[in-house]
Amino acid sequence: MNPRRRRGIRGNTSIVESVRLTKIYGSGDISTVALNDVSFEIQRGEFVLIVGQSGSGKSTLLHMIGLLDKPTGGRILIDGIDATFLSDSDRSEVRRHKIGFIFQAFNLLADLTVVENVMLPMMMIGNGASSAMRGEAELVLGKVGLAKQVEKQANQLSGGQMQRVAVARALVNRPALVLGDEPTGNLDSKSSQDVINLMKELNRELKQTFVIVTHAREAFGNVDRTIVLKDGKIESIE
Amino acid sequence: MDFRLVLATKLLLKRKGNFIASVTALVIGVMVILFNSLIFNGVAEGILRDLADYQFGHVLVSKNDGNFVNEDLQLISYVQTFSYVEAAAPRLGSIAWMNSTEGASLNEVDKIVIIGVDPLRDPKASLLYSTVNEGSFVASRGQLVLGSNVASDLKATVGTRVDVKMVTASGEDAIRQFVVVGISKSPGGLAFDDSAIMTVEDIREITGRERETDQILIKLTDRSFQNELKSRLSNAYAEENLNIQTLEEAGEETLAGIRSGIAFINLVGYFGLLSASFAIVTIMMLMVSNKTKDIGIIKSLGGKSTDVLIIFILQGLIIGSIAALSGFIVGSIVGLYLQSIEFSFGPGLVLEVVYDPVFTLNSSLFSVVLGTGAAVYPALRASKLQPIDAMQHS
Repeated sequence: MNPRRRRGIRGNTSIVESVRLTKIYGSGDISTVALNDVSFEIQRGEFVLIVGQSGSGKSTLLHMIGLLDKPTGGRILIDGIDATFLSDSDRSEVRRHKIGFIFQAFNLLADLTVVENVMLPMMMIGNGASSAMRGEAELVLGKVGLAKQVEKQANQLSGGQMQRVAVARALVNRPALVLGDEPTGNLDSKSSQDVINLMKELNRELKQTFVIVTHAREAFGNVDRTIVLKDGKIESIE
Repeated sequence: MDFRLVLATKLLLKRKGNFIASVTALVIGVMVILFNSLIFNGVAEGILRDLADYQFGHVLVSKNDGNFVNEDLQLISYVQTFSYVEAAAPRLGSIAWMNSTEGASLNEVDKIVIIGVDPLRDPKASLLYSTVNEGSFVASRGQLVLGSNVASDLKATVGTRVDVKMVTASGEDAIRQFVVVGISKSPGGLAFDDSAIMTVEDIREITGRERETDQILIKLTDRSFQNELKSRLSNAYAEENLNIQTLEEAGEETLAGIRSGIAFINLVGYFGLLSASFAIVTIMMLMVSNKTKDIGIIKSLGGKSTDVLIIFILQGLIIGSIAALSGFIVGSIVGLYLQSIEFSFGPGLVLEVVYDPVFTLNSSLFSVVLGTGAAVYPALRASKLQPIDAMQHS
């Protein structure tokens, strides 16, 4: 990878910078514009919500920020790296080192134990001995209240517990950017609030940037900023 | 441990059904190859052994332009000077018509091959005497050993008197009466079950071919010396127009059919192994399909296409390695067991099974190549999945 770092629009180093980002699915008469000329910046340590009605382009935008999908037009920069034209391998490298994901469907590997799921991002980077990675994974699992569940199979946990494992997995490498795609969408109200509190607490404590797509804006209470999308465009940034 | 190996192992072993099916398919393929090799090479070696023991020895010497006359004992004495020559014996063949009278009925057989043996030298150079399972081997003139099929046709038993007619060197019929002293029957029928045995002196006398010998069979202490002996005899008797054949050369006609059979059956075995590898491709494709979401998750966490490729190829390698180990263990047990017993199908030829650890290992290792090779296409398919598309797969 040969990252090309640049200064943000405001002159400081942004963790996310979206410049006239456009995503069109399909082509010709059957094309759908999911994102249309979307520009914004997110600073380090911010807790940002992306909200909007279904079909407004929230998840598409998150996938662009997470480098899981490629834009049709515009540019996306992560921690100063212009990722727009990176190869798949280099995009994976950026995801591995800089981004953690929390998905609505938890997306844990059912064949691994809880601690193995959390160790996986560390193993991909390959820093340190296996025992050190395990120790670190157990520490983070303790932080999310799952110290006693480490040896369980991931699919033996409740929904709330699985999302906590997903949070632990997203945070274990201390990525600069944590992305959540409806992370409370499959949880009951109490589990939802627990997970939200946990993310906000970790954001304060570890100064990691959280960008969360949600329908449940109110449940998050006060956040640094909220990006409101409508029909693939930014309606407002509050 | 490398995360790709961890994932390859965990994702594979948690789906025991697919894993066991893949390993079993390969092990069966390997076993088909090994079993074919053991059995059919055992048949070939068994035939060679019986041909050596009963008919040809390890080296068979005859003349291209007729029979030995007064020269056989000199040649036998010469070859016995070599330390690796155990014994040598002359033989003379002829064709005979026989009849016996059992009660009121006359039983006749035509054109029976008669083998004339030296009662003293032949038991040292061949195991023909051991095929006599009723009565005894010929010890002196006037005695006859009948092959079991000839005895059956003649309704003869030990003690029966048989009239034997042969044509003399001058073209006249000569008839002598013999006493059956033994019945010969070999397990694979490669001795003289359809022939009869008498002393070489009787044939010489009846046919008027005094002092003649048409074959000298030579038994070695070790079959591997046959080419050396052939070379030495060729040099020593360069002007004698000898036809010197090793066991394989003498038995070529008999073995030609079985060798074609071995080649065909081995081909069937390799097709079996190929089928096993197709089964693995199918199973691996199923595994990739079942793991599509996991592939998306791995990629979303930063896994590269090459990582996914390696994970699935490692799975093929693991399947192939376990199949190789299982195949080697099972193949070795079966091979050593068949080698330790006198294995035969029913009362037929006793197979000369030789367990070959190198061949067993090579065949087993072939499953590693096949297992890994079979994983390449599914692995390529898996590596090309886009993370978002893969994660949306249910």
